[in-house]
Amino acid sequence: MNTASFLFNSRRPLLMAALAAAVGACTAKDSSDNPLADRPSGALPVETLTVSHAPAVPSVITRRTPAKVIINLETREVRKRLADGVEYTFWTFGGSVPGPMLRVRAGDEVEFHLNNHPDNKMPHNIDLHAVTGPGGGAASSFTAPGHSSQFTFAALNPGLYVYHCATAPVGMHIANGMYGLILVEPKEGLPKVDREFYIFQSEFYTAGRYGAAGLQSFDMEKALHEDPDYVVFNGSVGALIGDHALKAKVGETVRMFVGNGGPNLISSFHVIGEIFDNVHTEGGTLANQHNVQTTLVPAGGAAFLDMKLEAPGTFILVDHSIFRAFNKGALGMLTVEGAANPIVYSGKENDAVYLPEGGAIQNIAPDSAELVETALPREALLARGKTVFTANCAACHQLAGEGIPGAFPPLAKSDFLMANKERAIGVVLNGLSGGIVVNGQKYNGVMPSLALRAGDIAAVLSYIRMNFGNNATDLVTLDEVRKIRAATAPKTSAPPPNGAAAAAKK
Amino acid sequence: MNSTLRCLLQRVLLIAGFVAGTTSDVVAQRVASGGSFRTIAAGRLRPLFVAGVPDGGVVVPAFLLATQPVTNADYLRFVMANPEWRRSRVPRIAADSQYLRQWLGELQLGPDAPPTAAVVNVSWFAASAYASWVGARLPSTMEWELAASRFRKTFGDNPERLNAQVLAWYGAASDTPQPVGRGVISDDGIADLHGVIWEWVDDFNAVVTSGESRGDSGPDTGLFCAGGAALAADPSNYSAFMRYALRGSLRGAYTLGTLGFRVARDLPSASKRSTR
Repeated sequence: MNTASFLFNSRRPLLMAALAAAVGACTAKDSSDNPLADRPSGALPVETLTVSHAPAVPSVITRRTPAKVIINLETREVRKRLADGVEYTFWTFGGSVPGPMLRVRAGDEVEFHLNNHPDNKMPHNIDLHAVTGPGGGAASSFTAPGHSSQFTFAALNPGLYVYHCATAPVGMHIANGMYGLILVEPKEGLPKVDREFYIFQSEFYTAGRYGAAGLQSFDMEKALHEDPDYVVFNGSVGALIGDHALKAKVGETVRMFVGNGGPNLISSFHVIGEIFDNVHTEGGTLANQHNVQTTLVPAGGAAFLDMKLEAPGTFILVDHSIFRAFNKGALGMLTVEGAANPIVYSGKENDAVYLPEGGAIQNIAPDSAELVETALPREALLARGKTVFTANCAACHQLAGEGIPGAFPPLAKSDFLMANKERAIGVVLNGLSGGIVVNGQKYNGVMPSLALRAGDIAAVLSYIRMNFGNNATDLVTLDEVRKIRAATAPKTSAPPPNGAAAAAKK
Repeated sequence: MNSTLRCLLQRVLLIAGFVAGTTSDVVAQRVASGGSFRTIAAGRLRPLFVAGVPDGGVVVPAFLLATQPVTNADYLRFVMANPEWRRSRVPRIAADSQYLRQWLGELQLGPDAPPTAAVVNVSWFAASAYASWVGARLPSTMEWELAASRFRKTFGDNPERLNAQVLAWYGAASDTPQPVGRGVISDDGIADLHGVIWEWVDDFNAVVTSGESRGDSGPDTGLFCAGGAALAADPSNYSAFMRYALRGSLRGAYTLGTLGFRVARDLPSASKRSTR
């Protein structure tokens, strides 16, 4: 490791943390020759690990001497939510997907108890990648329902490791949810951060396609073809969205322990609008890269990373194999509260018409671009509306208007849309941010102003309000759109007046 | 438990079963509770694990298999006739502490054990003793797998459909006990081979205890990770993997809430059991 580059990390001056990491890395190297060197001759003090579920991370280990850590983990086969209206019989460690994060210190002696609940149908075992020994423990933990196995291992190698069930057929046990992370902290600990989060990506192969309602069974053919219907963080669509978003404050440094259970896909983990200051690629103890946009997390592997939060807002966690994020559920949110620093990020400063054929870029009222806009007959209006919808709306709200649970509200059978025509016009004109409730589900995202022409807005709203199970009988007219725009349009140098747009945010 | 001890204990318990069943009264009951049997014609089976198996598979001779799993009502008759198999008397070495835990009392079935539902939470020793009491035996793994592979009438030439159906049951959480005889019927007229319970077989631990006879080159005894696929005839036969894995996780005294059994017999003309 280049210690100098570590110390002179220009992105933020946390010299103490960097120094600790550098020293930690060096000493970890030294002590890895004999990880059990500081074992006392007598019996180790005994402690029992308190289990915490994702996204919570177990407390930082403060002791600087080895201990005997007792871990109890129960396997359970439980029927739970995979997405809104979709259920799945998950096979789990600890009743949740992912299983709880485990945290021990290098040099610890770990006494592991795997308890297979008597209501389960399946035998299970556990392969902890942190274990040095046959099967990573699987050879010693094969357990019938209603039974319990015990084995003991030494945490020899610090790092972040995946654990998973390894009973044949192993792919199905993983595909059904049996995985989690175990952190073996270096003896000196990790550099201090303000918050730690536990994020685990995995995919699910269901008999029905994405969103098909009801209890879904495992589809072996899709698994063999590595063609999942769901790619999710923390076990279900929306597990880190809205009220479940990760929360932090401006100025804090956060660390994310990111695991990937697969069973098949590699994750291109990315946080939209943030840059990782330090990345421990593949979960190793070396912070081997700085200033990373997207880091690969292999199936059956992990990475951990940290970043200082300089700007408030909602930062979206994705697998940047982006169709997985957009259409299969691989979305999460990090909500950062605090004061904006306009030097870091200004927000939108101007919105101007761009005239490529020449002339100065001007700020002009959108209406002047539409002097020739005239009202269309009904059929032509709806046909234009469909085109506008496909080009501008379907990417987020989806082609059938069903939206993406937790991220993009549905337009189909939407009570929010149909309750107030003027509000709907205002939203398309001016965008919308902040919390709303659509068909009983809370959403807290941002829809930008799409800068559509008034005629496009009339067309697309007429189309949406008469399709997707919405039962409007009246068109949205050009005049109605113009009227709302006149009442709400932001002037270039003045804040928007209170009007329909403000009403829409309520 | 090593295999020598297991065999010894098995014999002791079987003798106990025979001693208990020597009166003519009990002999009549034996026939009644043995249920009805169907012939499973001899067939060739390619078992999941192929070490030492010829390319064409194993020939399984014809035998008789009970059309239904043993029910709670059947098993209650056995326990009444053989008090040593009551919950309070059975030695822990022959059945673990969860033996018959779904029964309300020592000789009472109760709401969690409908008389027509398959009996579960019975150990291999208990199942073997029952089979002996009715003048039958447990099927071997090869016999059971052969019988459980014959669903051409229902699924045609598409074994994936059977596999998918079986996986759906394995993938579902445990449900309330169902009456036997309602599931898919095999070509031979055998009910409930898939989708109701797991079933004991006589040589349930043949795969995973084979380490010593096959030496160090044998399959990983725990079937863990991808190692389980290394010697498999068909790595996509997930339902078979699960059955083999479950059997491999068991010991003779274990009882599970999803594990019962059915009985088998040699054909009258067969002079000996030939698949073991």
